[in-house]
Amino acid sequence: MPRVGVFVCQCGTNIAKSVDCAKVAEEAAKLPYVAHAATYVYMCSSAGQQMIEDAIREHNLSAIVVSACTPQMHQKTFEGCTERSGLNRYMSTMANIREQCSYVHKDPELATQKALELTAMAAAKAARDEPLFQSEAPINRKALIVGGGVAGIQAALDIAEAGYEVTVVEKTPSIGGRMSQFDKTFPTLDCSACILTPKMVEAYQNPNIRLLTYAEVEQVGGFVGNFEVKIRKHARSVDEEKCTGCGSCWEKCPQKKIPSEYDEQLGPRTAIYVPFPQAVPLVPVIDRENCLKFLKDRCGVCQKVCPANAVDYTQEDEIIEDTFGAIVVATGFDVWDHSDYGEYGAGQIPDVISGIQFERMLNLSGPTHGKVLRPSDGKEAKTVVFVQCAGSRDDQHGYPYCSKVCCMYTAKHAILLREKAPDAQAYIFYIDIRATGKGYEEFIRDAQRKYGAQYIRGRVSRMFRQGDKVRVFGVDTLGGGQVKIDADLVVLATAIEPRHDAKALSQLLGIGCDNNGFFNEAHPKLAPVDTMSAGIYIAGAAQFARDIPDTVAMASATAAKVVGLFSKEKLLSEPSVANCDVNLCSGCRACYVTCPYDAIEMTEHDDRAARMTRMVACVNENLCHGCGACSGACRSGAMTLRAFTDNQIEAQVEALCELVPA
Amino acid sequence: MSDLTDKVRARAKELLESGEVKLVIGHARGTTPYRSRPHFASTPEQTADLIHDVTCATNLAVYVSKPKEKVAVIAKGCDARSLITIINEGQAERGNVVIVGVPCEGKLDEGGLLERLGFPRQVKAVREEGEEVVVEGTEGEVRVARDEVVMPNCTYCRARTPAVRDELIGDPVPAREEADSYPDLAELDAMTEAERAAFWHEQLSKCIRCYACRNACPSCFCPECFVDEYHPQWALHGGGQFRGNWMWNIGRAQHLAGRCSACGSCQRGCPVDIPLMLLNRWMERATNEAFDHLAGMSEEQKQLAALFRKAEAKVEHG
Repeated sequence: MPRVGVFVCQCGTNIAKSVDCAKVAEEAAKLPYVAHAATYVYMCSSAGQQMIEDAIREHNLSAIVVSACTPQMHQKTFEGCTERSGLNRYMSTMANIREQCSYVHKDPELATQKALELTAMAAAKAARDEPLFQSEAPINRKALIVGGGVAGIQAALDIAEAGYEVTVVEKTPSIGGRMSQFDKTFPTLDCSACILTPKMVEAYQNPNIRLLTYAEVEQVGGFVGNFEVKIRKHARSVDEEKCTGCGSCWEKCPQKKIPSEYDEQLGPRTAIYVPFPQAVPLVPVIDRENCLKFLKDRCGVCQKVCPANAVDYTQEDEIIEDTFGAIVVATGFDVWDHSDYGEYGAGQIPDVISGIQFERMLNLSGPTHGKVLRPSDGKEAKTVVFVQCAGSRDDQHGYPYCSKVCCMYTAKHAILLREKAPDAQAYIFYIDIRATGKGYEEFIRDAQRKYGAQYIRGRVSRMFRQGDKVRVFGVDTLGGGQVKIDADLVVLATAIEPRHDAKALSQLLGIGCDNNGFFNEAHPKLAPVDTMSAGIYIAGAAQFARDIPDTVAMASATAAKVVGLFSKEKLLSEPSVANCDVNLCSGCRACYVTCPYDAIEMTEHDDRAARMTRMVACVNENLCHGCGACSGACRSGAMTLRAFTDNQIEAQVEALCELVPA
Repeated sequence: MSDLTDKVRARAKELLESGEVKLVIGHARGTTPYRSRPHFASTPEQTADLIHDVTCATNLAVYVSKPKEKVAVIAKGCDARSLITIINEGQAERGNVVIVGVPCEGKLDEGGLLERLGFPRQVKAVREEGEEVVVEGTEGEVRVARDEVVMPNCTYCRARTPAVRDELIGDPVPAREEADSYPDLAELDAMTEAERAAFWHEQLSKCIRCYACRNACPSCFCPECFVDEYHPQWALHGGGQFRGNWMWNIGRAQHLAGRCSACGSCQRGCPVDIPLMLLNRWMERATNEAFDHLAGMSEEQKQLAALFRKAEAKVEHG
């Protein structure tokens, strides 16, 4: 016969203000199987916990109910109490009479009644609790990092530093990511490459780090501790072992007018190329779609000039299969394409460019060698209009959110513009200025006061070509009235958006995306780098628009998570997962198709009674999150959730029906 | 002997003689000329007993359970829907089932047929002539419009030609136009919630829990039905237990959501005339509107539980 103890917490006055806790305890004592009931001001305090432990021993309790706050807060606390007093830790149930009762109900009588009902349901469940045991799984102590930008590099370095092996998979031919495209960084104006390239080199040289560039994750299976991953390393057409990075091949390549992705289409590259001089690894790739050898079977110059005999036209994609214990997703962001923005010229005006294009223009090794030139005619731009929130905070054309970094990089652009051309004038249209980081507000003020940037509060309504200028119409909501500027160049602070293939990757990894398409964190405040899939973490702008310090901090946070995971001897999994009774299972696959975590496999079962082998469902406990979708879908009751069995749920419903007046 | 019967026999014989299938499941004449019974032909000779006419109402998919060898089923639209449903649910491999489709314009509702027709004497034969059914008796014949003597579910059938089939014997017939307007539910729709509750209270009070509905249904294949389980005991046993009757009948209907082929076998099997098809159709309308899902109408369809549409939150039914 189960002996249940009920402990009603007052939570100071948080619960007691609308729930008569003494009455709840008094009534709970009369419930079936309840052997003891008590109330206390703070059950989670040391004294409260001691009270529970003593009561378990004194009253020989077999299970407990704590009616208090949400189990998300203190489930583990009370499981601990239960364990310390000699019971199995899972013989404890929480009834949430705070968030689900006292916080939301003012009428004391009704709130007390509801608290009793919630307690009674929990007691009915607790009376049917059974001891559960955690299962163990080994950990494969290698980390996979998807994305080789500053986030991926930082996470890789931190994990490698702790002594674990790391593989970085980067889609482009070089690591470095977005940060390698930037000229200077705000608010310190230090050279982006100068602070990034040492990290790139460090990652390249670290014996614990394996860099797989020009590669993509193709398939992910398994679970935390044991992710089985298939990586496709695209054919580079250049042997990485032999190549010395001398540059003869790309100097001689006759295909010289391919728009460079790295230079955001403002400059050209060759067909065999490295994206930028400091690329890591400094090994070129052949862009087969633009190479004459592959298009027309002509040329072959690169192979002829290569002193190391490294060019190999027959190279094929390589599939690398490996097992990892944890995955960090640091795939970064895309920049919003303003070509569907009719008011801003629909991408048809050459002198209207994006912020990241301007960034390349400012760079000394960029397409204009650091000069601010108009793409239309190559003349120097003197009057430059910057438009903030292009695609951000804009439900109609772009995204509802603020892209977070545009205020800052626009101020940086205005400063750098004046440094490059002291007679140039920047006009900045803005909605609000958001400068909430360390030194950020001062930076904005410098742009205004020291560098003479004209800030105009208001939106730009339209722009079009007027002679060789771009005529910009806007409104000045502070000064009042229309503003008309004939600009040499317009720079749109285009929104940060999720990678175009983020959705596909999220499906591959089994992690969710938010409404805007960024990867979902497990909790916005308390688990910002975790995902709902154990062992998969997110860093940087893949989660949401981030500046560099935030990105690096997140990356180190993911590394701490990974290292923490790897430092365990074995993985313990929560036992409150689904379980299939094969005798009841019809093999109808309702659970199999419903499971959001692919935790159910259909396996053969030797049914001796029916003298046949039939297919039945089988739960992979390491993948199961205990969500219960399978159990709800199962008609025969074969699939049940441990700690939430059909029997327990039915008992809860019965308990409620007993108390609710008809 | 009808044309369709000849064709069915010929095709069944061919399938068995060539060794393409090991068994053909069809119908044979039953105990009276207006009844049929299932027939299992495993040799070419046994195909001589096969028939196919207006009396062949039984859903034959109920006899297909994890066949190890290839089986052919003489399948009406609803049989085919059930076959696809159970194939999708792992109860048979598609490669082991040959769906020999037959067109169907409705099957005879033989329960109380004679009384309804005022036909006191022995029936000699039943046949279809155009839109009429002709019942020949020892004292002359009665002609009656088909819709008046077929099962109610046949009058709004959306699968008079099997949607999924491997072959078709006979000419296809179009689906009934009433299929999507749910005329059968109009009466329930017109009731208030209280009236509806009272209606079902009355109907379900009759249930004697014989589970004939379950036995007739191809979609009821669990090794142990929820209603037979004791831990927890979902429904109190024994007829007359209204609460248990309610749990059973509502549970059954819900378990059939998105899986019912509207064959009417459950209602046909019910000895106390509970209008079970109303429950099934109510569920079908809800799942059709919410998920655009109709059981067994395509081979590619997912199980209902695997579907999600944002619109589902907006669908409401009383």
